[in-house]
Amino acid sequence: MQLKLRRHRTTSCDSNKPDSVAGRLFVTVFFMFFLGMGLLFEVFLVREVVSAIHRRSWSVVSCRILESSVLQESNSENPYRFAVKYEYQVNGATYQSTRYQFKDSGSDNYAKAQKLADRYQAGLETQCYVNPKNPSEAILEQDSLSMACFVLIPFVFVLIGIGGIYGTWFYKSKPKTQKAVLPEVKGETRKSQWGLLLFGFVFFAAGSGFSYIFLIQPMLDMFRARTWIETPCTIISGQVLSHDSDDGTTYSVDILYEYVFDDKEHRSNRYDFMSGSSSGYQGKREVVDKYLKLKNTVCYVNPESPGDAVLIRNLTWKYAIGLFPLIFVGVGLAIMIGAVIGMKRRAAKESIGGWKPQTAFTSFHSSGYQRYYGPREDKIALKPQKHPIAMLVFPLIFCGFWNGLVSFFVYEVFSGFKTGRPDWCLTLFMIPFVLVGIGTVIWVIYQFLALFNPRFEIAIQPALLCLGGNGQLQWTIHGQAGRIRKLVIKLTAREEVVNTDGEGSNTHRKLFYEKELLSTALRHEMKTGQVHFTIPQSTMHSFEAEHNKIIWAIDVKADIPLWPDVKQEYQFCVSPQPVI
Amino acid sequence: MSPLTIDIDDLKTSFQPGQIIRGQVHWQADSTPPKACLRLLWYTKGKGTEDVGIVENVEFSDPQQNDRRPYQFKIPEGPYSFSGELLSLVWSLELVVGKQFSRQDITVSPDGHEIRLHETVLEAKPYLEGNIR
Repeated sequence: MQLKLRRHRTTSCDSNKPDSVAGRLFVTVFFMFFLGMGLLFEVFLVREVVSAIHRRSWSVVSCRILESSVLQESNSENPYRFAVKYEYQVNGATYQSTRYQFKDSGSDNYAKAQKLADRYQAGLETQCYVNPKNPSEAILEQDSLSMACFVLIPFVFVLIGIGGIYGTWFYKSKPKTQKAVLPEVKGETRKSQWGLLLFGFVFFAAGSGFSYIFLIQPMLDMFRARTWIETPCTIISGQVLSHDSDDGTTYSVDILYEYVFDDKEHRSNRYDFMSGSSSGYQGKREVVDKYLKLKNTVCYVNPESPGDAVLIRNLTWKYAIGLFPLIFVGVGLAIMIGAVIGMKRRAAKESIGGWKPQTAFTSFHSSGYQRYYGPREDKIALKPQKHPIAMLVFPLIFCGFWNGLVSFFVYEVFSGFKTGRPDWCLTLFMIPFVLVGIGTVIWVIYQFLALFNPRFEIAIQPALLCLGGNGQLQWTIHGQAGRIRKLVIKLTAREEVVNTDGEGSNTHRKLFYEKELLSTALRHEMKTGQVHFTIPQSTMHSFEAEHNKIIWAIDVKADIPLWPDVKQEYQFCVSPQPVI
Repeated sequence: MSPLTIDIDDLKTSFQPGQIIRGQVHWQADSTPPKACLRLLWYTKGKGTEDVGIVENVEFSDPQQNDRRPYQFKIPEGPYSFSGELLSLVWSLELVVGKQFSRQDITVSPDGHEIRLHETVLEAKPYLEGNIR
């Protein structure tokens, strides 16, 4: 006969499913917002994709390019537009069109527009696409269908909305029915591991995507640009472009410059290798003003493609923003690895389950207390359940992440007040986020101070106690024990269960035994001491299975005035009575 | 109907750790079952997700449509049968014949009674000894 051990890790969040109608209505409104926004974007995207697919059936007709150039429009997010005029014939009638693509909103990249102008030079005979129902409508190139890749994304929000509303009003836990025990691993465990893997993958994919755009691509460009040729250039124009979005206004530098390479004139507006825009108008204004004042400077030209050039090719501090998505990459990877390890452990586990009190002496022979548990007089040092440094790490990471993100918006708010144009909506919206941020800072300070608390060394003897057995608890305080106002040590036992049915994982605890072993405010009694205790005879020994536990512990609480208190739990094992 | 029965000698349902539980199982199946086994196991019930521990599993070789087989298990040291507010642990003999099964719950504890966590009379008498150094 063999008993196998199972380990278990608890999570600790209590159930928060709303029971009242008011609560359900509130949750329903929340999910209806998801549903509404998802449907709106879904309809918009599907309409655009269908329209683009329909245009693929337009007639292909020969045409001749009449004019081709790059137009610069000021006060526009995308100031550089490929301007073209071409002529074609349908059923004997001659038409002209200036449309490049059906949706052509220009570009913030001069080189991109210039490449199109070079490709479609005046006099070129090429093809265009004509609407058979309206021959006066024509385009030179079909629009990209890349937006079709994003069609499913709003659908996720629709599913969340529908799922959330259904779960709020109609979901009921399945009644537990007795069934024969099968040696296979429970299906719910597999589902949760796959869900965790998918969750981790989403984080990893999102972080990788942003890392590529903001870190890897710019780094690769900078590496390639080491061999680009330094070339004198002349500044033609400069402006700060504004980009409005739901999150607010962001800005980017737009400096157009001209240079000669291989006896040919070129123009470019690439400032550096960081794409996109960001908040902070003033910094960008200073850059533009500096170059407008310089008039003549140098740029770096790609000798293999002289249309590619850049003003700044070296690393600057703003590239550090590319490091933030790495947090998501790391977190996503950690979650995926944890999920895979969890799956492998469960697959590798033998089908015969077990329980434990786990001790260094437990063995699975059939008889003999001494052989089971070792010498009775041995002492064992107990470890605290929570390590002070571990208690600081998570709050520190969360505080850094939260306040790091919030700081961008707070800076935006301050900038608005500073320039006399405060954004009151954003200001009010940010208040709860700032309060949470302040709370996390206080949390970090609290945990940091706790690092300097007196440390307790706890030991019990014998190492393995059994029901009805007598034990001795010994303690020693290292550090400034004199700061402690009151010390209380208790012997406790509790039930602890984890429910993984339904949404998430909930942990419940219930104390069934508590005995105060020491309660003192006398300094000379605190520093070190020992106390005898007895484990009750007619109660339950330690038990640990995957979801259910009976835990025996020594609870230590040291009250320190004007300082974080010491609250530690030291779990130990109580075995069944030995079989004689 | 295919009755599956688990008989325990002396009609006992309470056992102490280390004791031997023996008896006979018999079944009447609709057809010759592909497999039949008897397990000694414990399972939890209550607010938490169910855990199961199979202590011993005995496969009956060449099971017949109507059959009767003896069995014998040694009750291990633990865990004890207990009942709390969140969690209970139950010992059981489970007979599986083909796709059908039957269970016979038993109690395992030093005094033969299920331990009730929140009704236990506590006898601990701690005392302080020599804590001045």
